Amino acid sequence: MPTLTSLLHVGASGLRAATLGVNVTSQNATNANTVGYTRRAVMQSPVPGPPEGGNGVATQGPRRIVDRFVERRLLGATSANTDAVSYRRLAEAANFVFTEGQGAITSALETLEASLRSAASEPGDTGRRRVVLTQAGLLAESFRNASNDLVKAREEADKRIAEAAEEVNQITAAIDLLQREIRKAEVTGVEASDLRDQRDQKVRELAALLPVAILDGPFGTVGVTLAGGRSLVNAEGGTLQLRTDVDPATNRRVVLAEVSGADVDITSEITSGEIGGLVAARDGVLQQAEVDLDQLAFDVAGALNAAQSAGFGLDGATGRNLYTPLAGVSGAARSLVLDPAVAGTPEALGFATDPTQLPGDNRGALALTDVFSTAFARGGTATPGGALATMVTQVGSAIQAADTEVSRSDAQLAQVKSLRDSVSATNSDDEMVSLMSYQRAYEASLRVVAAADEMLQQLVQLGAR
Amino acid sequence: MRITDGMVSEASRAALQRARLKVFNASQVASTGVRVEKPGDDPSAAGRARRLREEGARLEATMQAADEGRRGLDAVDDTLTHFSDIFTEARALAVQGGNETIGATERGLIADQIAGLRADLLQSTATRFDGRYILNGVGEDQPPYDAAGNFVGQRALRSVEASAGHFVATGIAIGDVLSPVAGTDAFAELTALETALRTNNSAGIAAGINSMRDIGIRVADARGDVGNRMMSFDLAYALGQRLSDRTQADLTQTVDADVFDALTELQRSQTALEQALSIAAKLPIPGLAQRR
Repeated sequence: MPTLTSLLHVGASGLRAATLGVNVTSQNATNANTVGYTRRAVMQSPVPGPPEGGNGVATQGPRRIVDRFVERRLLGATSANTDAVSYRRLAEAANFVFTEGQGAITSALETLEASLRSAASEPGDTGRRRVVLTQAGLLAESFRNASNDLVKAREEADKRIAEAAEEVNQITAAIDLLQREIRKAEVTGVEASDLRDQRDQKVRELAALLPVAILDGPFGTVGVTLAGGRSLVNAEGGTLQLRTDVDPATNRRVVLAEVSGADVDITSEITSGEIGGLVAARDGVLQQAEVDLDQLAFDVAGALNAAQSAGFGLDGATGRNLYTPLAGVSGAARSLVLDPAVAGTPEALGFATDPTQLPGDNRGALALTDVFSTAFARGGTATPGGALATMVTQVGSAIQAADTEVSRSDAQLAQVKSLRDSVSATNSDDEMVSLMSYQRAYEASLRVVAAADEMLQQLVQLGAR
Repeated sequence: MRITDGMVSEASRAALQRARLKVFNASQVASTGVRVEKPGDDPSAAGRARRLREEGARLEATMQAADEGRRGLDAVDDTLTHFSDIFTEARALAVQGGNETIGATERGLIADQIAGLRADLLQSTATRFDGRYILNGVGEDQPPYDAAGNFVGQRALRSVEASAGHFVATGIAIGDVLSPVAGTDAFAELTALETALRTNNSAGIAAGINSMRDIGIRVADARGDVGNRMMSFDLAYALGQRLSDRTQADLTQTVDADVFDALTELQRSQTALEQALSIAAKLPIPGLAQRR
């Protein structure tokens, strides 16, 4: 049977419950703008007692209000978004290289052809020959600049990949440390909400770098894996250390992980996140642009050299190249320079095909201009200008696709974030209602305690008479 | 769906960002007047623009070649006109000299004039234009005849591409007119005529009259050929101009922004930005926290 003393305990339990509720509500309200904060709630249940009355209220929690499915989707959406953004950012280098303007390859090809046509009208004019040499030199310079821009972008990507891999190590180490604390705290049965929030925020930071998945472990811990399944953080403790190195076969930086004492290349497993986007852009649009540029430089230099060396200069000599012959396609754009035999010597340009018809024979100059109208590029299917136009369209298409993907992933990320916030973020109106509710509960419990206390006092006074 | 404070401010922030991006893009297009600057702006238009620019530059270059060729032939034609005058006068003098009524002294004077015409002809073969000997074919760095009137020049001509695949020869190899491989040499004929006049050689004078006529016809034929080539250059230039105008129009249509559309889009995006700012200014949405 309930007693006055037990009534006091009932009231006290209500006060404790209301105080905890107010505390949790305050915590929610004050952390409304804290990044990664998950709102908490207190679960209340009656304490079982004798059939005539109860033993007050018991509380469970506070517990975080989380939708695990939405949290997982958020990780995927985050990786997809940073993948798209980093891809687009890096691909801009190719976009820039093929933009029209002074000094660009696009205009350099045109102006060299125009100077050759002008020289074909007056092949004996040293001034026009000098202009041809200048334009030929500018074409080589534009190829070198374009190639250097692409190589620089590739090197910056590699540098960022290395930095990102190190960041991954730091984040996984932090997650591992947090999980040890979580395990220690939750062994007692109480949820370590703040630690879990910090841990989940770190996992989201990790998802921004590479695609991750989480698997629930014991005592509030999680295992973090790459999307393909390779463990990054073990729920029981321990992390996979990443490092990067340059692959000598491709001259590109790859991500390595130490597995059973040996380095394993896991680059292909990083299909998303910032690292994934950088690798995709570096090995996709940038590499294709480099290869196409080298091929075009090789083809153009070869064709111009063939025409130039067949012609006779004003000195009657022949067999001189316009550009220093290239060893091969790879690196051709970066290596293109005027041949020393003609550089600075306009008279050496082979504008004649018959040394007895100097200086007016222009058939060599016409053969040089003919190079620009001949389909020898892209495996004999395109003129140099046509090949360049195709490259412009290809790069443009890749950029446009990247822009579309950025927009799509932005929208998807925003939607998932809204879903997540809808479940886990703080709504100040909700908290104000909860606050009022707990206040009322506190007042009611206080009344219970006051009433029990009054009754006890009356009883004591009766006993004292 | 449960709406939180963060969702409201995030939505407002995202809307502001989108509006600002639209204003930025619209102002770029409106201020530059260019819709396609980089390949990513419109890939197929960028590729097409590249081809059009190349085509336009090629047309400009061929038009310039046609113009220069035309001007060079103008100078050649002027010189051939002068040659024509020389041989017309030489023939008239030869006719006069063949008249049996005039005496040796007068024939001598006519012979002197023939000698003068020969010297004039020789000097005229060394005509230069733009610093080049224009009557010596590809041998433009030296005159076609030596001081004695012997042909030492070139017979080959240079051709330029006046329009796509259409080549027209520039200049003239005067040796083919005045000293053809299979034909009489004009200088030798003038010398022979001068000698015939001085020696009162009637047959020689009569032959001289005929040769002056024949050489005059050769000069006229050469003028006709030069005239045809000038016309070729003119036609090529006119065609090039038309094609160039069309190419430029295509290029403008491909890469340039429609001014009216660009300004309208700018106005529209600015209005959207103002609305987004106005909505953001109304944040925070009043809640219970403010009412208590």
